[in-house]
Amino acid sequence: MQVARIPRNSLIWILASHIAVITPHLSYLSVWLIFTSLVCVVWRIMVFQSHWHFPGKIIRAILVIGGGTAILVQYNTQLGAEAGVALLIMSFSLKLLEMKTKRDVYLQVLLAYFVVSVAFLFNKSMLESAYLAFVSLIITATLIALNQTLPHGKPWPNLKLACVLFLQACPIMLALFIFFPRMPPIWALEVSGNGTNTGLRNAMSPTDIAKLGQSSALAFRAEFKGDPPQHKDLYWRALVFSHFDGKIWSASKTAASSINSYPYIKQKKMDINYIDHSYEYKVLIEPTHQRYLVALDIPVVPFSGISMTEDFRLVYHEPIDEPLQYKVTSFLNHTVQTELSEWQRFKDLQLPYTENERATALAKQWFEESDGDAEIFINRVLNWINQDTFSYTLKPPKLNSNIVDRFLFDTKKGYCAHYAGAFVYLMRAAGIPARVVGGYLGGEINQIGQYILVHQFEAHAWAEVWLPERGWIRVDPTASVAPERILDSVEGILRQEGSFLANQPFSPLRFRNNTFINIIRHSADYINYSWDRHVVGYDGQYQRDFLEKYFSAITPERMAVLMMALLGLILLAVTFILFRIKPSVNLTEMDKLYRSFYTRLQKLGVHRNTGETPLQFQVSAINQLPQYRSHIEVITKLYIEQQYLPKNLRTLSSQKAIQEIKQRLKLF
Amino acid sequence: MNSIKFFTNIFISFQTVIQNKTQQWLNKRVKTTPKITLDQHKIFIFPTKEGFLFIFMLIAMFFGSVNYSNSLIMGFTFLLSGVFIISILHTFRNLSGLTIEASRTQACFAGEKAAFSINMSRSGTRTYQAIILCWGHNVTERCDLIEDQEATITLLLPTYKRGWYRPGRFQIFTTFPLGLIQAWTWLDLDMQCLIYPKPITNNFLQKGVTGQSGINFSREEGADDFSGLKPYLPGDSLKHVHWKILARNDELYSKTFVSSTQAIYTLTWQNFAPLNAETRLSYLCHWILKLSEQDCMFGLQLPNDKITPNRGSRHKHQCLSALAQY
Repeated sequence: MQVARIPRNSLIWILASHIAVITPHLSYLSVWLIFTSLVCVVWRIMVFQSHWHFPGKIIRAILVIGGGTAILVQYNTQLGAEAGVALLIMSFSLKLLEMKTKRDVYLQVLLAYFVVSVAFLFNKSMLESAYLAFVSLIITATLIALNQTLPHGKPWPNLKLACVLFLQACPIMLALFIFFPRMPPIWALEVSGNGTNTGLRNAMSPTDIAKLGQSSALAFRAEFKGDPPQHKDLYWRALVFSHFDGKIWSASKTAASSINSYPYIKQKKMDINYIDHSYEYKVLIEPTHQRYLVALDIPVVPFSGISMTEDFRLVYHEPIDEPLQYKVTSFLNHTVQTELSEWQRFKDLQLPYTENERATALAKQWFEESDGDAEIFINRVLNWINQDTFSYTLKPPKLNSNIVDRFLFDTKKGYCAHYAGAFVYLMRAAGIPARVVGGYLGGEINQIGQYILVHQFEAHAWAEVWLPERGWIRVDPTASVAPERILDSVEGILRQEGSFLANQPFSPLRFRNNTFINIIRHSADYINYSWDRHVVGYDGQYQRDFLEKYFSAITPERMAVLMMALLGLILLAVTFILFRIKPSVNLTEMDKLYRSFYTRLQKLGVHRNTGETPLQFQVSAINQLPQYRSHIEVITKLYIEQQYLPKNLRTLSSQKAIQEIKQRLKLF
Repeated sequence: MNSIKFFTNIFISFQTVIQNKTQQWLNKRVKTTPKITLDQHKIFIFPTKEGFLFIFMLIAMFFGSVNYSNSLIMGFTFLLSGVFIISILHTFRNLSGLTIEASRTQACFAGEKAAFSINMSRSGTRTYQAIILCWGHNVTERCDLIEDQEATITLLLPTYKRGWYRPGRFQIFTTFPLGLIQAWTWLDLDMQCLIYPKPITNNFLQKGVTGQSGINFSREEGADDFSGLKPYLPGDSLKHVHWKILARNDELYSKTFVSSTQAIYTLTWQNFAPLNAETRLSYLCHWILKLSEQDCMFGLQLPNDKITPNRGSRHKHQCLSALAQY
């Protein structure tokens, strides 16, 4: 059998799609793999230009075994999604080196489609999806080139045809996407997180929040049913730090281990009194690779898979590796835990005993001076922070030991984490149970979508103190030193300092004061938000909610029938577009007139043979209808003149000629 | 052993029955006619091997999307499924509405390749790409109708036997645009082609084995004298073209000769008496070719046919046809 050779066009397209397919994977592929891939492409081009040969069996074997081993070594035999992708891309690249026949190109094309689909595991934004759709257009153009007979030369018509195919396929995709019944995973697989945590961490080191303060990345979005609370009430709780080792505040071990023992059903036992107004809202949180969720306190969650910890935080049942959406109801006014158990009290009074003697002494002295009244003591501390020379900055001097003492009495410069940490230290030293809470404060309202955007730089830390009978109360010492931070945002304070997003000179967030850029930024985010919610988040639950809005009582059978009917309609429409008969030529005004002229003559009995010119037709027409001689002659003359003579030689302008013919036609 | 043979026989007869049935069904569905316009009654459509591979890939992707609960991969799978479904329509469109017409055939000698020309034309603005005509496995020709309204394709079919050659149905198919779907049909344009016997070089007659008619094969050398020039007419021997004039003036002229003794040859069946029929025909064929080459007058006598002596290309083909149809 003769070997079907690869047409030149399809080789160009397959190499183009090879590079385009690998691009979205670049961020997590190792350098050697990218290099190998490019070498394969160059090699294949050299083979095509007959400079080099295809590699022999031995070289191919070395490449395959070497590449496989390298991947095994690199990914530590953990055959997760990423190792799989690396393996896929390696074989995809090496396959180029034995791509000789059309059949090989078909395989390569199918592999390319597959690599694109895998890319969706890691690239989910709308822009990335659009790019991947474009890549699959290129791959489809390869298929078209493969099936063309002639080397037609230009590769662009292929891309155009691919676009046509995709456009016509789009309604089918939509119908299937909306109606195809979603099923739960047969065996659930997770894309392993690649370890880089974004967002808050379980332990609050002093530099942590400062680092977040420099990040313009999105933390989460929240959409309220009705009006959102005021900016000063938007304390998004995420983590609670109860343990202090002298340097770092971290989540207490006991709290971490109690996550699963307090599912949300047991809320009543947790001694919460909800008072009046509640807020209902949806949160779409960006991947953190951790389990914590954000919520305004105190939340109630009507959602399985989310639990509440004994310190009233929400946690998910697994690390959040993909954008997650959840509904929460929060009661901003409440009293919680009016009684504190012994171990809780112990946990929230824990202090390292070695350092920070000055702070301990001060706390004890002031607490005694306020006659053991916690509220007076707290106010005194807050006043001190307010009136003394404390200042808010994201660039505090470095502290190595005795950090509370040195911060409170020497440097007096810091940001929320320092204030919250020092405040809680003072409280605990005086014997008041207290803890540091990490989360986000405030957010930016997207004017277009009416939802709240919270960025990483809005990360914040504050304190909670426990008072008998009143339970846990939020105290934000930062409010004393920089009240703008609470009322407005971190931006205003830092802008003066020049440290707001100092590392990202081109981040659009730096230009928030420019209305035009702001509108664009908000629109872009709104689109992304909608994409994440309605497309990426279109799961079984969403599908049911969505369809029930429009169709009553949706069952899988009904959905199937609806889907089939819709598909049938779409196919009918496409068939109509494809098979409709178009006139082969676009007739000019003149042509149409002449045509009506000769149909009129035909009615009068003049027969026109195919291929007869207007002049020949004129002769036979005059023979049969001598009484119309002058009209026939004039019309024919005008027609020929308008069709074939250059403009300057015509006796009449085209407008006048048309009128003349029209008038004469009436006489027949 | 016997039982194996028995079952093979059954299998073979079963196969032939099925083949005959399909043939009958096909004959009813796609009629034998010299001109045919393809429509949905005549076109068959089915995924290709690559198409099935594509479907397999879609299934794999779908399960991937379910297991990773990734709705984007699911959407992508649906998009590609849509492309697959749409490509059915496109592939079908790339064949339907095409008019295929028998054009002409060119006779040849047995063992050579017979040329069957097929005319394909389109109407309206619809264009056709990568249409493949296929007669058996080895004979394929490709054709595009993009700018042109019609195209003629010549298929060269190997021949083995003299006589009328009917190659039967040929396949016309396309996999354009994506190669995932194939649309095809089997057409019989009622074409046939005359195959002349294979000429076999021999000096049977020159050896002196002459028949009763007593043909004289000794040509008189120099008897033909150059007499003048006349404008070339189709059918004149190329040997007599005055090439020098052609080179000078770009006009064709034939040289004319006068022969003092115009020899007339008659080839008869009985000349080759002891040989079997096919060999006789092959030998006769050789002589017809040789005599025409020398532009001689010759006639042909077959048991069932008789052709009066004449010369020229037309006469040659008449004689060859008589041989072919003996």
